[in-house]
This record gives sequence, structure tokens and C-alpha cells, in this order.
Amino acid sequence: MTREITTILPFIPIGAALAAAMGIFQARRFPGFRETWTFLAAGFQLYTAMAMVPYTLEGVILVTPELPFLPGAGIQLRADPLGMLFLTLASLLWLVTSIYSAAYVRTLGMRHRAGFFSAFSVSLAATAMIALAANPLTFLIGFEVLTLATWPLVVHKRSSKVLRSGRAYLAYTLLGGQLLFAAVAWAAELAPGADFTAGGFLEGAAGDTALRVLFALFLVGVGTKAAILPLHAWLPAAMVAPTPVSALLHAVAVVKAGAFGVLRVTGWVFGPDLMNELGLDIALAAAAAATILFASVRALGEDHIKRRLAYSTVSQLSYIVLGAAIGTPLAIAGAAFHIVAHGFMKITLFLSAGVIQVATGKTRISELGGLGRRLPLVFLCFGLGGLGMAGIPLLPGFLSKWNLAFGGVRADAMWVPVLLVTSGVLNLAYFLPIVRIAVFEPGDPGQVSRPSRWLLLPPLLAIACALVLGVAPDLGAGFWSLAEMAARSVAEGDAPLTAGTR
Amino acid sequence: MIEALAGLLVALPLAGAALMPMVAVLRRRGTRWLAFGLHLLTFAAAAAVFARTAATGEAIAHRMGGWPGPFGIELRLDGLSALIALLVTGLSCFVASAPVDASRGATRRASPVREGLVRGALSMLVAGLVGIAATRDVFNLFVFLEISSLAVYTLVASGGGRATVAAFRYLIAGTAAGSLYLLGVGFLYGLTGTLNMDDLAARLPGVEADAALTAAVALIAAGLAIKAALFPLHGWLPDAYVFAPAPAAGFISAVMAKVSAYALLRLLGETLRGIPAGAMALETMVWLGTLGVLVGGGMALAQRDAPRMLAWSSVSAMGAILLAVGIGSPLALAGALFHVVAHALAKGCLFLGVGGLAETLGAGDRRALRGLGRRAPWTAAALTLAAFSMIGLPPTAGFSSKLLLLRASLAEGGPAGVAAFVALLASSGLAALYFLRVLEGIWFRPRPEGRPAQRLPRALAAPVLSLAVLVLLGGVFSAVVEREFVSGAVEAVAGATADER
Amino acid sequence: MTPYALAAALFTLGLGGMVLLPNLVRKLLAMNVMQVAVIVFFIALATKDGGRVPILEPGETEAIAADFMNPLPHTLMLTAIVVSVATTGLALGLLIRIWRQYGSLDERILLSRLRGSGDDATRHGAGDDATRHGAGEPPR
Repeated sequence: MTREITTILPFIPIGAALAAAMGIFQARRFPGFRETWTFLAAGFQLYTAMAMVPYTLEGVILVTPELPFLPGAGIQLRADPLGMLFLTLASLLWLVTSIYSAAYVRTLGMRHRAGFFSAFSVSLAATAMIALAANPLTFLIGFEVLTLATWPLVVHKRSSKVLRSGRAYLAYTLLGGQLLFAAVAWAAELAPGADFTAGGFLEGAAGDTALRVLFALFLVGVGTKAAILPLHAWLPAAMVAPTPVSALLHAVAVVKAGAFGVLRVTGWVFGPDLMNELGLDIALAAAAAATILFASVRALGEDHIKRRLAYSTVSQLSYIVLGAAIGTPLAIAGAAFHIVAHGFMKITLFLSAGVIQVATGKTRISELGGLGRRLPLVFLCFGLGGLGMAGIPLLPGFLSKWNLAFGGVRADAMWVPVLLVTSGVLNLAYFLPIVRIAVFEPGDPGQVSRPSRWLLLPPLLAIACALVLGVAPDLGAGFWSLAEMAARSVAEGDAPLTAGTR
Repeated sequence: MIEALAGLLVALPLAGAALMPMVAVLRRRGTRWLAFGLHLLTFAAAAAVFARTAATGEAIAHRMGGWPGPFGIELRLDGLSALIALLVTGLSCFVASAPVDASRGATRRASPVREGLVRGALSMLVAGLVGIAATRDVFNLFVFLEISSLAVYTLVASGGGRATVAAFRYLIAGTAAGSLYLLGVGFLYGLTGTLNMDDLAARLPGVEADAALTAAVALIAAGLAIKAALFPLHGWLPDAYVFAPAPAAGFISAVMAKVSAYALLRLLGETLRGIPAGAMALETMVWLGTLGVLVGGGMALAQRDAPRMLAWSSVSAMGAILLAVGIGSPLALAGALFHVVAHALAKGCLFLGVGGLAETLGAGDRRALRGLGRRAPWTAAALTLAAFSMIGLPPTAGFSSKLLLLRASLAEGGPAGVAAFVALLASSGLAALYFLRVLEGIWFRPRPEGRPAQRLPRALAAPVLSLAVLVLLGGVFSAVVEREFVSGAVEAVAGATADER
Repeated sequence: MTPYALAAALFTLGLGGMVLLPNLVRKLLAMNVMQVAVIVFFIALATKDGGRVPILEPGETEAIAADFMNPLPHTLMLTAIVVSVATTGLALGLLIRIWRQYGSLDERILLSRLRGSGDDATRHGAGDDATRHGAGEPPR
């Protein structure tokens, strides 16, 4: 049983990140302060998140007072299990990425650093807002701010080609945002003042067709960020961004926010029952399955490391969508946990790829020959990350896939395990060759500079976390328990005992 | 005491209009500050009136010359009128604070005659617009409409060159609109024998609904629709907005068409609502507004020239406002009024900023704005916020107004509601495309070789920045804007229509 | 009925002229014709058979409204005439400036010159009354 406590605590993670953004911009003439601010804010955000987690695990949900915005719509944050899972992950990975970014911008001598770190902080503030949003409006605001804040990050290099990719990125995400806007306005009209409710709040609010259209609007809205087929084209294009940005985009911010949004919409707006009734679960599952297979095959053919990783993300995120579509508690728990698992593994892969690029200037897989001996730690991280993606036991990807598969079986969808195994094999097929080429194939490594230890530390940290999670998924932040609680609440509803807050 | 303020609201700027040319010729230096002070005073009067109507929920009435009832001309400011008056007078202060030729660089000063003419015209424009908002007499409305139009033609023409031609075209279209409206008023007068709005509303249901009544409604609606730039009667707008010189253009683009939209709301939504032809006119307005939203957005996307793009986006915004007026539910009216406020602030900011920059550069090509972010980050940030508001992105006022408009069109339902919903969404998408194209240039592209460095004249920077701050505050504190400003205005109209039914 | 027909005819004539005539002076004249039509219409409203001017004769003490013509439309039209005069004056002023600048008042010629001057102004980065030119034609 859950109960709610009204407090302003959930505002703090957002406030910390925003304050950092302003501090960084103010201190733009003092290089040292930028990173200091970032570390402080990231550390503080992580600290507050970790301080809130025990409450959530106890079944206490922290809710902020509702800030009035417009009649029948307020801004409110609510630290429910799913939100806390995402928030904790985001702040943890922000800290990891910050260490990496600080070393990265120094090694490459990047320009516009103040803008870079400010935009980074705003993105994290928006992500925290998305994670803790108590109602669709708050979610939408976070979503739009996230789009805008990541734009300068994506086009950081400012060349014409990069700006073109940036336009594609914006065109997709902003137009998706407009559709989400439409969906939120519509939902507000059908169920005025409704908050996200575990199990959904739209049942019986409108006719079947109208609800189907609304679902499509919602899904296209959040699905654009989640890169569901056929809305994925922006993601590989956005690989023009600096590596820490790509890592952030994939592991926590944009794409993950989209996947998180799919879970929110299916579990907390529509609910599995309503989706099943309207036949939406099958449609969504089909889209997810198609995306998983298509993206895996496309990844096989990509020679550019980051683009291969991008397609891998497209495919992996559809696991989450798949879990949301199946809708059984196990599947939802698996999907929610995959947010975490994928976050740690993908960030390892990206940061490793970034180190390779910084140390050797190489971005293509076919050029990696002979590098394995020069950068052994990097390729160890990369290999472990790849194995985790494929769902090998003892790594966190296994747990999420296992639960997804069983969730599918419980829903009499026997094709789910088959799909997952196939995809796992494809994962191995596109990740292992990278390590194989680097370690076993001869080649001219060329000029290899020693990467700074601050560049190496973050991927090692991330893979260490991943290894720990694979064995003890509940250690530290209680990720698995949070995922399980979120899934249970969707099945049973989490109506609070205390009345009055809504 | 406070009733006198209602009269003063019109009298003060009218006196200013007469005074300005004289002061400008006799004593050049003080003109700017005298004008600013006068506008500020008018604004203070409007604020006092607004505060009073908001506090008591009752209208403040002033009878011109002390004539009673339906015979004399009544100036009455209810929540809605007071909001419009507040907006008009407030924005005029921003524009009046700048030198007449602020956009042409610090070296050029306007000649005394020019200074007096432009400042006088601005005062006269304020008088006319406030008069439109305040009057309850349909003929008096015509007079104020023409006063404001004459002032606006002068302001547009003060741009020189092509602006003269634009002003002439505007004059022709505007006078045609005025004549149509006046003819409609003649029909109404012939049918009812009264010119007072309340009297009209009371008598019209008793009048047999024949061709004359339909003609009256059609003429009035058509006349005002031209002035409000309702598609397809928007032809005058782009040129007039583009060629007006920057400080004045900021004001014209912010309020001109919107006050006519207010007149449409007053007459069609309130006075003529009870009769079938009026309802039909409103329904037509929903459709035309929807089309205007789309066409304006599409045309804006096709423009290369930044001011012209902004002008077309105004056509789109007017479509959105008018379609909501046509829907007429309290939610829609709240959306329309919120949009009026949000759009006035954001468009004023953009026209002042882009117009000011473009004229210093000698060309309005939007590439002229490239590299602005490095060169003048605060100006660029202000323009960015205003652009976000135009697109409808959080955390700006445009986001809130768009949310209200979308909800209103959904609540309306039916083919018209759905069409409006889709069009509003599409226009946001289009706005995103054409504004972000400019923002990309501002922030991420280097200044083109051989172009002079852009710098917003200091006198324009202050209004641009303050308007941008207002756009932001209006978004963050939407609840306050809604509660304190919009809801009273909506009640003024919705309450009146509820009584009639 | 006749004055109404006259008003209608004049109004149509004026409106048509404003839209169709290419010469700006003619446009202005047509505009005046249209304004006169409105005035005729209002005056026609006020007249009645056998109606008198609403001024009491010397020695007359009692007034019966039915005997008089309605004075209100007349006064309204006085105001409308003032508005019309002001508008016409402004328009003439504008026309003089247009003539001085472009040497023509024919809309078609004017349009082609505007286009030319706009291009030149941009190309040479002309200053003062520099005319900005847009991508599209000025909408009509």
C-alpha cells in the first residue's frame, strides 16, 4: 500500500540542474567554475535522488504541491517508483558523463564550452522534470524543454553538415512534440485535471475510435523521441554530436525520455486493460518487434562505430516499448529495468567509442585492426557492454530480457522469447566483430596517444556499475525493486490512502 | 472620480496628438520625453481603470457631454475593454520611449516636422484604439476606427520609399472597410433606430430577420474583418507591417489588427449574437480563421525576408484569434484573449528587434541576422524567447495560449472544431520550421563576410528586452495572467451573452 | 426607393472602381464615390414625405416628432464627411510623394518600378529610404 506526502523535495533535483545552468553561464569567463558547477549540481542531484529513493521503496510517494498553470491544469511532480528509477539513473549517469565531458573538451580543445555545459545542465533539469511529472502537462513541458536544450548540444560543431543534421533532429522531435501537445490538450479535455494514474485514467472517457486516434497521437509524440520505426531517422543523423552528448542522448536524455514516455502513456494514461480492449497492444507490439529486427539488421551494415551504436539504441529501446505493449507485470518490470540496464551499457559503449576516437582519431570499425593491444581496457569495456546488450547472464541486460520474455509468455505471446533470442544473436553479431577486429586482426594502429585517465575512468565506472547490477540488481539505488513496484502499481493501481491531495 | 478616467483615457492621447507637432517644432529636445510621459500617464489611467474593473467586476462608464442613456455616446470599460486599453497603452509606452528613427542608427535624427508627425500619429493611434475599446456606440466606433486608421496610414508612410505605396494601398483597403462597416451601421440604425450597443442588443431580437438585417450583419462583419486581417481579406497587412519603420512597426504589428478583432468580438459575439445572421457570421469566421492560420503559416515559411515572414505569421495569428472568437465559448475566448496578449508582446518584441536590426543593416534578408548570438547575446536571447512564444514552446506565454486554443477547439467539436484543432497544430509546426531556421542562423552560424556587425540601437534594446521578459513571465505565471487579466474579460462577454439567452 | 437604389449603385460603382482601376488617383476618386454612397444612404434614411427641418418656427411652442425629419443621420454624416475629407487629404499627400518618387501613379508601372528599386537598394546596400524587398510580390 502506498501513501503520499506533500513536500517540495521533488523540485530540488530540477532546481539544482537549472541553478547549475545559470551558474555556468554566469561564470563563462572562468573555465574552472564550469566543471565545478556541473559536478556540484550532478552530485547534488544524485544525492537528493538517492535521498528520495528509500521513501519510494517504503511505499511513500513524495508529491509536490500543485503549482497552478491554467484552469484545470497545474504543474506537479510526483516521485513514484518509475519516475524515481529514471531520475536516479539520469543523475548517476550525468555525474559519470560530466567527468568524461570535462576531460573530453580539454583533450579536443572544444569551443563554446560554457554554452555546452549550460545546455547539458538544462537537459538534465528537463529529464528530471519528465521523470517526476505527475501529469501530462508537466511531462510535455519537460519534453519540449529537453528538445530545445539538446539542440545546441547536437549542433555543437557548427559546420553546415552538422547544422543540417540538427535540422533533421529538430524537425522530428519538435513536430513529434506538437503531436504530443495535441494529445495532452485532448486528454485534458476528455479527463480534465487528470494526473498520471497507474492503470490509466482514460477508460470510458471517449468512443473507441477517438481513443485510438488519441493513442496514436500520444505514441507518435513520445515515439519520435524513442525512435520507433519509422520515426527513427533523426537518431543516426544526430550522431554528428560530440560523443558525451551522444552518450547522454542515448543513455538518459532524449531517446530514453521517449521510451520512458511510452511506458508512462501505456501504463499510466491508457493502462494495459484499455489498450487490450482497443487492440492497441498488438499494434504497438508489432511496431516494436519490427523496429527491433530492422534496426538490428541495419546495425550490421554500419561501418561507423557511433552510427552502429545508434541503430543498436533504436533496437534496444524497442524492448522497452515491447514490454509496455505486452503490459503484463513481468513485462513492464523488465521494460522498466531495461531503462537502467541499457543506460549503463550504452553509456559504456559510447564512452569507449569516444576514447577510441580521441586516442586514435578513428571512427570506423574497419580501421580498428591492431588497436586491441594498445587500448586493452577500452576494448574490455566495449566487449562487456556488447555482451550485456545481447543479454548474456551476469550482466544487467539478461534480467530485463528474461522478464520481458516471461512477461510475453504469460500473455500467451510465444513469439516474444523467439524475437528476443533472435535479436540477442544479432546483437552479438554486430558487437563482437568490433572487438574481434581490434584484438585479432592485424592492422596499423597509427598514431595512438595515451588517453587521459579521466577519459578512461567513466567507462570503467559505468561497466563496473553494470556488472554489479547484473549480479545484484537491487544494490544501491534499488533499481529492480523500483521497476517491480512500478509494474505492480500498474496492475493493481496505486490509489493513495491519504485523501485530499488530488 | 474614476469615471472621469474613462474619458481621460481617450482625451489624453488625443490632446497629445495635437500637442506633439507643436512641441516638436518649438522645442525639439523635450519631445521624446514629453511623449513618453504622456503615454505613461495614459497607461497609468488605463491601469487604474483596469484595477478597478478587476476588483469590482463592474464596468466604468462615462457619458460624453453628460447625455443620458441611448441618446448620448457612452464610453464604458468593462473587463474586456479595460484589458485591451491596458495592452494598447502599455505597448505604446515601449514604442514611445524610443527615438522616432531609432532604427536608422544613432547618427540620424529626425527633423522636427517628422518627429512631431510621427509622435502625433502615435498618440492619435492610441486615442483611436482606446476609443474603439471603450465606446458603446456603433457610430462612434466607426469614428475611432477611422481615427486610428488615419494615424496608422501616417505611421506606415513615415517609412518613406515603398512605405508610401504600402500606406496608400492600406488606406484604400481600410477606407473600403470603414465604408462597409458604416453602411452596415446605417442598416442597423434604419432597422432599430438606435446606435447604442446595449440598446441594439435589446431591440434586435424583436426585429424581423429579413434581408436587411442579414445585410447589416454581413456588411459590419466584412468591414471589421478587413481591418482585423481575416483571411482572405488580409491583403493589406504584410506590406503595411513590413514597410513601417521599426519603432512604429512594433506597435502596429502588436495591436492594430487585434483591436479590430476586439470590435468583431464586441459586435458579433455580444451585440449581434442573438440573431441568426450573427451566429452564421461567427461560424464563417471559424472556417476563415482556420484557413488564415494555414495560409499565413505557409506563406511565412516561403519568405526569405525576416520582417515579411513575421508579417505573414501575424496573418496566421489573427486567424487563430478570430477562429476562437468565432467559437465563442468561454474557454475559446480565454484562449483568444490570452493569445492576443501573448502575441502582442512577442510580435512587438520581434518587430522592434528584427526591424531595428534589419534597418541598420539596410536589408531584411534573414541571413543578415546570422552571428547575432555571438555579437549581441542578450538581444538574441530576447528574440529567441519571443520566437518560442510564437511557436508555442514552453516556458513562454505562447505555450499557454496555444494550450487554451487547442482545448477550446476540441471542446467545440464538430467539423469546424476538428479543422481548427488540426490547423492550429499545423501552424505551430510551420512556425517551428520558419522560426528555428532563423534561430539557427542567429546562434550557430557565423556572421557573413563583409556584412557590418549587427547592433540593436540602445533605445530599442530596452523595449525588446523588457517585452521578452514579459513573454517569459506571462508563460511562467500563466495562472496569474489567466486569473487577473483574462478571466475578467471573458466574464464581461460571456456574462452578457448568458443574460441574453 | 430611388435614393436607396442610387446609394446602392454608387456604392457598387465605387467599390468596383477601387478594386479594378489601375490609376491611383482614379482609385481615390472611386473611394470618394463610395463614401458619398454611404452618405446618400444615411440621408435617405432620415427623409420622410412632408417632413420638415427639425427647427421650430418662431412662435411655435409644441413639437410633434412625426412632423420632422430625423436630424441624427445628418449629424452623423457631418462627422463622416469630416472623416472622408481627412482621409482624402492624407491620400492626396501620399499620392504626391509617390509621384515625386516614382514618376507614375499607374499601379502596373509602379509595381515594376518598385521591384526594380527594391533590387537596386539591396544590391548597392543603399541607405536612407532603402526599400527592402521581399521574396514575394506585395500581396494585393
